[in-house]
Amino acid sequence: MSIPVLTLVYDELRRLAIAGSVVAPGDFRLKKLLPQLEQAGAKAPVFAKVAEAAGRLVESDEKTSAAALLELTTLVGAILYTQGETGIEGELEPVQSTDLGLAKTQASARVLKPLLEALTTTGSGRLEIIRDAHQRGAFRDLRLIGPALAALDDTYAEIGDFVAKKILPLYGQAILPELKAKFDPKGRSGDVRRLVLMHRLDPAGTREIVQRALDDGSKEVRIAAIECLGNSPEDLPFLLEQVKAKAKEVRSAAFRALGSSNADGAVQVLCNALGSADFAFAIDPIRASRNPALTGFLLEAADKQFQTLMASKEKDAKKLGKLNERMVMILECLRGRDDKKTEKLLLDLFGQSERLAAVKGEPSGKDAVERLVSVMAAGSPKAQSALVDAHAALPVESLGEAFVAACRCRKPAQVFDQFSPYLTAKVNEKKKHRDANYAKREAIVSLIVMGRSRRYYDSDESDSNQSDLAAKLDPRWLDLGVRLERFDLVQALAVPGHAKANDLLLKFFKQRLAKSVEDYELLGVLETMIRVRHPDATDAVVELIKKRAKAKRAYASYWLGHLIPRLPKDEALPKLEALLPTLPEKMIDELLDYVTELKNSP
Amino acid sequence: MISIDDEFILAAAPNAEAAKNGRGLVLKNKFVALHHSEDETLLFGRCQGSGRTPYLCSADFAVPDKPVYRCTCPSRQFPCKHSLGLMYAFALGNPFTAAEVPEELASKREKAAARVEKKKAEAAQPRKVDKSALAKKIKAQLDGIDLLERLTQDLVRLGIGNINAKTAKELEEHARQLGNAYLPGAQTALRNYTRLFYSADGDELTAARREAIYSEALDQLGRLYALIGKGRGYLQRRLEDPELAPETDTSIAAWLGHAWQLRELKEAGLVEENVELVQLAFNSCDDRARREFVDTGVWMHLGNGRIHITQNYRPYHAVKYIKSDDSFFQVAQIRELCVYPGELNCRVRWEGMLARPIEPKDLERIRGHGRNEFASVVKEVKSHLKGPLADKYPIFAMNYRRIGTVGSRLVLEDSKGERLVMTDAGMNEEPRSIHLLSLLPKEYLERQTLIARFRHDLDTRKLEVKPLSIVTGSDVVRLTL
Repeated sequence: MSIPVLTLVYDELRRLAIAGSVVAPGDFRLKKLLPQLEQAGAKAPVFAKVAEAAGRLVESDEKTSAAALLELTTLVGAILYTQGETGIEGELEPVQSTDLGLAKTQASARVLKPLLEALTTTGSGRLEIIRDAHQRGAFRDLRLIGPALAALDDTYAEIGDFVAKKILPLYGQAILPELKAKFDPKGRSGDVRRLVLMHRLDPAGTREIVQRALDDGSKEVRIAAIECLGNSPEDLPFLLEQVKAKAKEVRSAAFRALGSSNADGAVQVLCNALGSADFAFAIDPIRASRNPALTGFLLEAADKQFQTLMASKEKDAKKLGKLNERMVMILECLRGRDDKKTEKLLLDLFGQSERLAAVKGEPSGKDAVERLVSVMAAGSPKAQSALVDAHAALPVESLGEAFVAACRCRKPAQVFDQFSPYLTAKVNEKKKHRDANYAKREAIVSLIVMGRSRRYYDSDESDSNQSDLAAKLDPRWLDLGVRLERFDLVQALAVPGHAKANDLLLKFFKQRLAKSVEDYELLGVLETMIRVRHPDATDAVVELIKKRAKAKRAYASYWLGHLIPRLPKDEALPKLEALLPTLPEKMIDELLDYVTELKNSP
Repeated sequence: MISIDDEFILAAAPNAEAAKNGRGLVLKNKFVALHHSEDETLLFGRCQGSGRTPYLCSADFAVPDKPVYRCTCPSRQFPCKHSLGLMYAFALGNPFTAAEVPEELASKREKAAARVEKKKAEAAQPRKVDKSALAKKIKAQLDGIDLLERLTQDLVRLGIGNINAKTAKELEEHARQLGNAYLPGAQTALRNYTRLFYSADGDELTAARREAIYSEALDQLGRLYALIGKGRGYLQRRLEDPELAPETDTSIAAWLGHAWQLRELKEAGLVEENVELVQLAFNSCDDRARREFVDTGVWMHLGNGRIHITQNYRPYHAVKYIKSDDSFFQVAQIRELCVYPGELNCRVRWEGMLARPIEPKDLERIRGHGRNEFASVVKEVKSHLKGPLADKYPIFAMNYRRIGTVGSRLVLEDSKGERLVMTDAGMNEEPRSIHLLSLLPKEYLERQTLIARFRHDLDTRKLEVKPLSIVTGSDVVRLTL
């Protein structure tokens, strides 16, 4: 068949339809095709029909042109529909498939839809839905990958970040082509997330894109791209140039990228930064680098700065402050190093800490000593040990660091023996704010407690050192907390099955409840009771709900509802279901969802 | 004895919120009386609402597979939270006592039973047609067709390039007259054209997007032209012979907007008995031209392998009161399946059904119905597509030897080496699916069955397929919804 001529006719028709059929009568381009059509019509009758219809269109007038055009369109359209091209030439390669090992999910449309909407629309309450689905493993469904990728551009930055950090890495390299296809170097936050994610999934394969982003990316994307650099020697010249850039953010990013390079040029730039105004940007990369030359330079600088401070006759507080500040920054660069040379320098400085502390200014020498102690606590075992040994002589501000160091380098029992006396030391409770014993006691307690309370709410980002420490504490700390009736300690350290702690928790609960039903502390008590599987946890929650129901303005608060799904289902569900009908209407509405959640939990 | 559990109530509820509110009513002790009839086929009770007198709500299981819910509250949700609450009270084990059925309820039950009887009796009698009314209606429809023709010709004379968002919306106002002329289908067809010219927010299109709609617009004009011609012929035939039933061998009646009643379908013999269907794909979209949400299920008839679709229309203004369809993962056993007139993927509907789990032998049957030779499928698709009023996106089940790539395109190949290229372009709002293929285990890409929708691209003139699901020996992997 003479299909090419037909497509020509179609193109002319399309043109005429766009312009309006009034221009069709006598159209010379269509007219020119008539002989070809007639010729084809001699072989295939259908072309003769097309030729006739086309002829009618050319011969039409303003009034009849529309019908003629439509007739020809229908005819040509019908033929072209039968000529749709299928297939494709070329070698059929296997699909580069990445079996995600995802559980085969068959979530129903009604289940998928709220999640899809949360990922693709705007409005409040979406992060909660997404987070919840993530926890339940709902994202192990192939069909959610696309929407999750689209959520990178969510207007609500927290959703974009959550998706980029927690959800998309689940799918691995399989999502790379999608990320690449959507990536716009000129874009904003969504493209920053895309670039960082691509680099995280496939650093080598992303090089070219990073380069492109560096060349013509928007400011945000360029900064992200710079941070992806540093692993290859080719990056160096570019980065060295970027540390001189005008924009602060760009310089800062360039320094961070240089931190991962061990090349001489990079080390040199970082060394130079020590003396420049950009020192603050370079602290993180310098701290991360283990290049011996850089370490040597740093130690020298630290020593030199110390000598300068000691030798200084400066009286001006501002100028002294500047010197101290630099000392603090250099010390910060030493954090985490446990080599012998650093160890020696830290110990030397620690030996002279009294002299250093005597330097005046704002910040003062005392601040420098505080930083020194903090760096030692994160240093080599010997440095940590020296700090622990000196605990009795340390000022209150540094005692906590000694405790942290002890937890890192000593056995839990030793730590308890050495530091528990601070909890039992006699304190003049009437004038406690002037009593150093009080301050020391609270410093230790606050470290133990930190990172342990409210554990349910910060489950995402709680990796502070302190929370690790508490895990390694001697069990006697809990006994001591119970003996001293320190609720904060018991809450932080309680473990299931500790009878005395359980008694105390119940006592706290009753005390608090007697005082007020609105007491936020009750949340802490109940959370701990639930966590340690306290036998009375359910009854306590029920009691609190009952008591709140009797209040003048009865309402259950948000936090109270959230406790319910964490209660033991077998015990709590019948009790709560029996309780609900006895409550005021408002409270039923508030609590119904939570009880349903408990009911539906596995 | 009636058996009700949470699942049953959730399935009956128009939405999850209504079910929750119903349960809340029980917990709040809003039910002041809970009763069942002596024969235990009816639950009824009184529920305190915002009014002075409690509502009388009931759940009637006189016909067990078609329960009837009634309530005296003014809610338009159906069943309302009071009826759902009544069932929750039953499911939660609250005491129901035997009592005499209240007069107002008893009379409604009697009337309903009488209606069923009357319906049966009516069905047995030949229907009387009010010929003069029908003739009047057909004349109005023919006038509507004339109007549609005038509008269409004006549009063609004006030219696609000269229509903008404003003129498109003005036209839609004119198109309302088609609705008044008993031609809602024609109105939709015209809107299918006009809606191309503005964005989802009603804004003017960018130049690039305008360029992309021209071919589609021309195709829609062609459809309008065909609709005018065929519609006029059909209506004139009916005007001449008022006894003539709506045409059942083509979909022209539906195109003009005829809403088929199940009774009519049965009368026309478009019924199959004892059918088993398996849903293979689902889609829910917002059809702006129809001003309705449309839930579409794609099903395979296990007996003959034909692919059918179910469509649940939820008009914007009533969306709160109509239950949305959901994806369905079992085998639907249907006593009477009504099949709409059509060609390839005919729409189906049924009144009552039972469900049973899908077994491996069902999957084997589906795979057995898959077409082995793409060439014959393509031939069938093309000859179907050339009909100006044909469904432009036919769905087929095809057995493939493997899925692979040629360049950047994903390609389906049959045992003879015939190939089909895959695309994501397809129905409005349907989730993208081809990127999912690279995430499947390797064995899914060889010797399985693909459920796919064909699409002829008017600009590139290529016939490609959009994958919807893959059926293996052990499961159905849905790639869309």
